[in-house]
Amino acid sequence: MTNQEPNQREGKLRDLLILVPYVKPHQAKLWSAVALMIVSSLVSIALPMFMREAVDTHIMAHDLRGLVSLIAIAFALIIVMTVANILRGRLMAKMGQDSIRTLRDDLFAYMQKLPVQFFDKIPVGKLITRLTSDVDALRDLVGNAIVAMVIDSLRLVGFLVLMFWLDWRLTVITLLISPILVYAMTFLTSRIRKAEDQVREQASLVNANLQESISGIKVIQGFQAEEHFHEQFQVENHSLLQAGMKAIATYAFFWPTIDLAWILSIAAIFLFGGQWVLDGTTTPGILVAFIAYTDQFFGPLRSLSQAYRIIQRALAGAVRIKRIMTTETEVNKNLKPMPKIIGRVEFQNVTFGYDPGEIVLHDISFTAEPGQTVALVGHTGAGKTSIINLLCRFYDPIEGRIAVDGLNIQEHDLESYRRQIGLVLQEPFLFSGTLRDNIRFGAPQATDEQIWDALKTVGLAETFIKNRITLDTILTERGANFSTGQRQLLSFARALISDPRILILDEATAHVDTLTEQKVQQALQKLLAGRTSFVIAHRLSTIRSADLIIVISDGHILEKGTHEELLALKGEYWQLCHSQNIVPVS
Amino acid sequence: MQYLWRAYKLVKNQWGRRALAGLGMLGDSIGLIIIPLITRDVFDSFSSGAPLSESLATVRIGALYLLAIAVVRGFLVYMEIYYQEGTGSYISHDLRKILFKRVLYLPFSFFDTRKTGDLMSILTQDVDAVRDGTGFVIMLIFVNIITFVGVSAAMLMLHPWLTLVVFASFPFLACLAYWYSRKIGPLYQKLQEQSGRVHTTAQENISGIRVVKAFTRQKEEQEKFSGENRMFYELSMKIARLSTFAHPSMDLLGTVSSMIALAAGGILVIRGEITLGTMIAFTNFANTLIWPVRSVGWLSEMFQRAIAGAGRIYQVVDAKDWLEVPADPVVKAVEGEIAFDNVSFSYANGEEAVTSFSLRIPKGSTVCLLGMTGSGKTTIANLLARFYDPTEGSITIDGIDIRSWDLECLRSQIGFVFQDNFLFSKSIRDNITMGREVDESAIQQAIEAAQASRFIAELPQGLDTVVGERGIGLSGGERQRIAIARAILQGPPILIFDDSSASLDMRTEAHLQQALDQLYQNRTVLVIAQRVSTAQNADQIVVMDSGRIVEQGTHEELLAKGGVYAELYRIQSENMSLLVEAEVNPRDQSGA
Repeated sequence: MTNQEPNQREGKLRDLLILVPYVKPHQAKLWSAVALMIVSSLVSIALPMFMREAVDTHIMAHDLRGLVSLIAIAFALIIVMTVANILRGRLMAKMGQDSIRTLRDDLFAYMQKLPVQFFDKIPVGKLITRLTSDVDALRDLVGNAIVAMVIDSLRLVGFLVLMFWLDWRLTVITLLISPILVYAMTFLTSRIRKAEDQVREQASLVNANLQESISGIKVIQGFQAEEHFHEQFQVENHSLLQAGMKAIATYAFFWPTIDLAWILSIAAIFLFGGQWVLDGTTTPGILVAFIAYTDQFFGPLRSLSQAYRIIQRALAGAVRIKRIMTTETEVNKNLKPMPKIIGRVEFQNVTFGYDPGEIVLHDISFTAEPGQTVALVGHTGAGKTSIINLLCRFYDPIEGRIAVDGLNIQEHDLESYRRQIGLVLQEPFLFSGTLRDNIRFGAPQATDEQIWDALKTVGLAETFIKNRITLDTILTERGANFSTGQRQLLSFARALISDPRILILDEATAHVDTLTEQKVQQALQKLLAGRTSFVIAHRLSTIRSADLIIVISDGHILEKGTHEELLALKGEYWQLCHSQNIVPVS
Repeated sequence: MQYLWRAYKLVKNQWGRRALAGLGMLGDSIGLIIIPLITRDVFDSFSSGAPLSESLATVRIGALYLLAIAVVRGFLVYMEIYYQEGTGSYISHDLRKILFKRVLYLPFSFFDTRKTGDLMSILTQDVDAVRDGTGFVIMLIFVNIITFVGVSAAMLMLHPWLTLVVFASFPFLACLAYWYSRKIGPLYQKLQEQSGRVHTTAQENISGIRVVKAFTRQKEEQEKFSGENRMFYELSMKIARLSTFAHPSMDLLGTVSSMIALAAGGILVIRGEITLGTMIAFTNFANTLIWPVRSVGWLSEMFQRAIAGAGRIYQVVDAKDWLEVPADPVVKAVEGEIAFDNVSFSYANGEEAVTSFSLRIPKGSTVCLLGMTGSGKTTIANLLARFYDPTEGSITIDGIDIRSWDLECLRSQIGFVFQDNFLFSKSIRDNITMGREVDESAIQQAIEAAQASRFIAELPQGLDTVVGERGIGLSGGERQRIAIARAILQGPPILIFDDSSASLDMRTEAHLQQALDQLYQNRTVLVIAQRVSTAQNADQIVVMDSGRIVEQGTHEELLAKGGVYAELYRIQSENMSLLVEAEVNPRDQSGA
């Protein structure tokens, strides 16, 4: 694998620059949010000062009017703070969600332009993670962490400054508690995180075990292996319990530690501050303010450590997203469009390999005349699918050229070329959505009438009418609510509607049962008529009627010709035919 | 609710744990009541007018008390969290254990009506919800109640009227918190579903990228994804609008109550009705109570989720065993004679899969069921293995109704090769032995007979190579041969072979036939097939359509009859007849 998952720490701060174009349009919101945040931070820093003021200058001095007006001011400030917080929250949410929605759209759009080669190298799951969790990590950063970091640092500094200003001795004593907080925030949280990771890992093992057992329940029950599976599950389940208890043992330390720090700091304030109040070197109001500050100290610390984690994740996500968005696309705007294809396909000395070091097709040459059907025959891994990959221009040859109607396909616009190609694969790849949308996949303007015609042609119309399936019937994920045969026939209808000039069938009938296959064969004849077609199949009946049969082995063309010509050769093709005839015909 | 209680009762003999958790809870709450009272004494000593040394002593004693409380309370809170969360962990462990065991033994009809995903969400999310509900949620509910009652009582004793004034904003706060949780819960659920749709759209697109590109659908796919992404965005914004309003508002209501305590308390101090210390204690109490009041919302939400989850869990646990257990089950060795007598079967959704099916299979013979997908072949196999019981009619083995056999005894004497050749993510060895203790030589013989030894030898760890979803991928033919080895090793008198999936390449098929010949020897075999070539050698061929028998007989008889089978044979042998024409197969020539 050339594409390795980057390490969490690999991300550099400048990778976050990919966010700039997305955040820029929302600059005004960002700055207003920052301004609002400064306002609310200032209020929250100032509030304990009001308490001191209330106690020392009004209550102790029996100044009722002063107290009432002071509280009135405080009320006004709190309302200002609340409004500022609500507005700031809205602005940030809007900015974060807006910019990240655009980023996600763009990333998906970019992926659509990447060559198939790219998708062959990276597992689907990882690419989906790019579109989901990685993008989400960036959203957390934009919508939350950046701003939270500013505000929380500001608050911490504000607290400290005011505390020193009120009474530096008390501040020093209060800060003596900070090692406990630091211990909880760093050492303890990292241990908790590790323990939780282990729980998560073990939980995913248990879940995988569950999932598999449910999917394979028939085998388990059929082979009387219930006890065995139960025992094995219990082992995993027990490990999960142990991992969980271990995590709890660590986790249970966290809140008591924070609590301990908090109560200890109050005790210290009383012990020393109390004496100083009695000395007259400090005031009761200052003690009140200090208690309020220590109470609020923990919040910003905690959210700062969260922000740190969000930044770590966002960095890792940014690197991976950037890597995708800097991969070269297959789109080239400068090429002329492919004219309407008549159907002459030539492979001229084509050599190809997925990795330059490993050639899978050697010097392949053949010509298909317009309207001809070409059958590709050979064992798994012989190179049949590679020929099709080249013909669809999913890949480009290393040497040689592929010409359609005498035009090199590499020198023409990809989209206008592919628009004229139809592809039916072994796995039909239907999409969740209505039946209609699935069939007119390649021809969005097709009418319902045309769709029903196509369904009739592939022999599905009758069954569908009988079972009250309409064009609005929803296909569940990958068309799971249709049988394999029906799915394959649907993919035929899909190809038929798009009316391609060149048609490619890659083992399209492999999953279809024999009786259905008979229907498929008839549909196939209609599908193949009047188009240049390439067929990969195991069934002889499909191959036999081809105008040209190409036998491939280890990336070389061994034999070329019609069915009769090749049988007469008594070579590889003859052998293959022989091997399929397992049971003698009486 | 009674289900949650049932779940909670799972943890037997854990009274020690729970007593410790309760003790911890009490300590937690009492601490929250005592601290403001100490604060009160300390502040009162500042203006008590007592001698300095006395005041100083009060302050120091207060500080020492706090020190002691800090340490003791730390221990108690640790105990509270550890034991209560631990109880939750034990409960989820026990629930998973019970559920899994239940799932393993559930009849097939149960799985027909439920998707794997739904069952999984019961086994994971609902179990987690119950764990939380019986763990920290219940703990917090109790702590909050004790704290609230205790603190209110302390406040009322200090000054009843001031208490009421400080409480003024609490009903609003509680209502707001409750309203918010009720609203936000369903929204989050919707967001999760929408996130699933975004995920599915991306997954379909990426796995089908060849099709997308071949049909030049990039633009439409982009629009589709963009649409789902927009829905996701709109839901996120809805949540953001709600939460950015609710949280600051709750903060406001909380701050208001401590401000009221300060203002009203301050006025009372000035009037000389209460001391400064009492006023400060009041503001502290007000602060302490904000959290329990605010948590009303999300705790009730989580508790309800736990109740709902427990309900779904016990639906599975209490699921009825549809298969009746005979009073005096037959346990003996199976000879292998099978008879279906007028068997009909309908699935739970009312769809009739088999109608009046009668068939006798003599001991040691091979019967091939032939028919299209959905003709009822697989249902017949499922009925024979008693994965379901027939709606009407009966099935007998050796003349004994299979409902009278001991299920375990019966199934252990029926071997299976299933259609999908399901393999577990375990070693090939485990997949073949299915957990039984078996001789190495027996395994070797089985894989030899199944023609699997060659490709297994080529695998990196041989028999110990892990296959399946989380292991290395095998081809359809290889998987089927492992499944055959599994059946051979079991060595059952009756064998059910579902061969209706067939995407093997030509050479593999030839190899397979040899494996099958091994498998069929000395057994009563029920083969489910689609290819005539598989059927030809059977002692009896049964052609099915829409759950009924259409034709029945030997290959020759059915050919002579000129019905469906003969037509099938004609179609399929067309593939081969060309070889006869070309006169390449000497065997065909001699047979013609």
